[in-house]
Amino acid sequence: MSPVTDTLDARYFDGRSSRPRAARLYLADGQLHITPAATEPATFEALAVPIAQIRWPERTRHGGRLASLPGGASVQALDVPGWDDWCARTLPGRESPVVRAQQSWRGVALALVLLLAATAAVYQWGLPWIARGVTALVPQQVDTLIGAQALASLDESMLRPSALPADTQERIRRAFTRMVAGAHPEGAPPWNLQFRQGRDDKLGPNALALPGGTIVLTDALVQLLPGDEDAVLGVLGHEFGHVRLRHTMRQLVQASAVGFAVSIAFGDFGTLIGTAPVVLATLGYSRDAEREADEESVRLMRAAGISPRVMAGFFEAIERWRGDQARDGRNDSAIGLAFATHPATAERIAFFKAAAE
Amino acid sequence: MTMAIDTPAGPPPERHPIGFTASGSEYFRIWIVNLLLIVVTLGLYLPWAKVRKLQYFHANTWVDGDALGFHGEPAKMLRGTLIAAAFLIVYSVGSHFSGWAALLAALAFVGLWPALFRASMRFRLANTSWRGLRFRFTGDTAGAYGALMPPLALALLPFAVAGLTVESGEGGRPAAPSPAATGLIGLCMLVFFVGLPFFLWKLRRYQHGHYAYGGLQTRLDADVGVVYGVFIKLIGLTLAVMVLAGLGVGLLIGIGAIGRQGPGMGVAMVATLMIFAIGGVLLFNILPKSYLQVRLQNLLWSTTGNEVLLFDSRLKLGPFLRLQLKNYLLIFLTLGLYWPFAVIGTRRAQLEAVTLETRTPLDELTRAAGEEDPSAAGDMAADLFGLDIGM
Repeated sequence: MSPVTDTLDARYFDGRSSRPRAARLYLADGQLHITPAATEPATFEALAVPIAQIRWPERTRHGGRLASLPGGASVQALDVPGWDDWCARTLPGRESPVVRAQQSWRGVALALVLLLAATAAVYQWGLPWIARGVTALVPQQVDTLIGAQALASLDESMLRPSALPADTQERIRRAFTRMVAGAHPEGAPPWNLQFRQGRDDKLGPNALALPGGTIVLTDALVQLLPGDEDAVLGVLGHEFGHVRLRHTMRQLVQASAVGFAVSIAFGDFGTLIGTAPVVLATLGYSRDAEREADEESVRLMRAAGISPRVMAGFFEAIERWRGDQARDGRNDSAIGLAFATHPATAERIAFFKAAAE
Repeated sequence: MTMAIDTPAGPPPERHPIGFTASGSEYFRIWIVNLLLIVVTLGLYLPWAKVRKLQYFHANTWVDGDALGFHGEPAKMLRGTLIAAAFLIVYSVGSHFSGWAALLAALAFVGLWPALFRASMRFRLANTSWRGLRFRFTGDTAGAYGALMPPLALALLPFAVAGLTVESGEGGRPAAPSPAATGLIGLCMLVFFVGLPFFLWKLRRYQHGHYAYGGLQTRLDADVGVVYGVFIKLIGLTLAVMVLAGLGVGLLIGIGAIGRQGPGMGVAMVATLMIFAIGGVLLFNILPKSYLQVRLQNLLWSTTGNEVLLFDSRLKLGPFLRLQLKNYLLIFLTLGLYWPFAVIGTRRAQLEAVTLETRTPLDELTRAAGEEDPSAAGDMAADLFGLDIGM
């Protein structure tokens, strides 16, 4: 216990008026004693408050010091360095590790390193795990509804009916059905295959997986490698991977979670600054989803006895198509988009070649 | 800036400039440690972090030699955070389900948000003190609904109603929204945007008209016409900027067409794109936002007060604009690490532009303050939805 003689001059507010009263503080018997300063006639009655009931201010380099007492009264520092010295003398060891960390640059540097590590861990494992859990809670009908709406709006804006002969469509559909049944004999999530073509050349050879199991395949993709429908099945396997793992729904959940986290970190500043990390994080998750879908594609092709090597040929054909587009001066957003959301083509070619070994 | 508050003849008012002594580097340290604790506790530390931040900001806001105090209790605010988070999740998930669920969610939002907003104001003010005396927010529930329900209903309900008509399409395949639904949405959006300055004015009048300290209560004497004036000037400014940007783009395309065959095309393209990006952000984001912030702060705070006490805000657009430009650039260049410095710099500019004028010596502003029990739910709800309380 510190000696009673160690006093601090401060101001006392009773919580009922804004009049400050000169006070002298000292600690004794686990209590803070607040007495009128001796130099003037007493302006209030001396009181004692148990230390544990006081909300002490944190030590900072700037700003005033205010200790809240129960019942709305408070004590405020006259001289901030004097207050801090007095607290250090009379209440040793009271300061929290948090305050010590934020008052030392070394502590802050350590916190920054730990923060980056923790954020990376949450990004890599925590969020995808949570997103999978949340996605599992969302009923499949929600996916179906969103998917149906998405297809309707695509049909209105970008797609028109397929011009492929009915027997070609039927052949691909049958082969794909066999392939899915072969890889998932225990039963697979529902899917439905839709043949469409783009309203202009922009869409090109493409396939999309919509939530709820709808897979859209463009005519240009079927015609890209004439006579080689194995690669088309590989692409369908990839889209089936998105369907089976409910990637669209998961990414919806992940994007909202990232957006929420960013708004906490950068709370009261422009929305513009908040969007960049959300976009970057979403692109990262999107590339992970593509890798998972490629793995599913390999599993399906193996089950159907197709060598994953056909996909290498397919990607080379896609690259040739892109090259032609660029030469004709039609290189626009479509390529940039694929570039950002999918892993590099070389990496994917290597992946499928390795899977064929 | 005109002062519409009637000023009785007498001695000239005492002027008390507001001071802000927080430093960017100290707030940076507080921010990093707070963020670490929030991440490792998966968000549960949020209220403690928030209280620490508010206490730091309040302890560095000085009026006539005394700093503000913040007294919110984190444990109570955690409950508020959880209530608000549950509300937000139910709302955002609910609105993804069927049309009826979306309508229900929108109705719940419109019906509950004004009450949460009022609770948030009460909580914040009741936990803020100056010279040992708590502030109060005296606005009633009816006032909150009157100010907030019309704009919320206009912004949310048409989409929910239109969603219903979409769902009733044939054969499970959604149909396009009916022309009637599209018309309803269009009409509501039109009313919303034309009425926006009015709704803002009503909300601010509700807020600024119910701040109380002891027995003193403020009121807002700004005229709704002046708020419309600010918005009309903002539209004019935006149009001028668009014309200017259009001219700039045309010029650059012209130059690009001439220099098309040059070998340094790629570099020039990248440089041009960078200039476009920075210029676009400056012209279409920072400039209009800063203009609105500066004009509204000056207008609203200079007309807030009562017979003995009056605020005067003189925030200057030029320096504020330069500050924001610097903030955005440095945040971008430091990948976000400059953010706490930007927050402190902005807050300093906003607070130090304000002066408090009193006709009675400040020491005499003593009255009994009624104790109220504020609910913690609202304060955190306001933060979750990003609604700025603008103190």
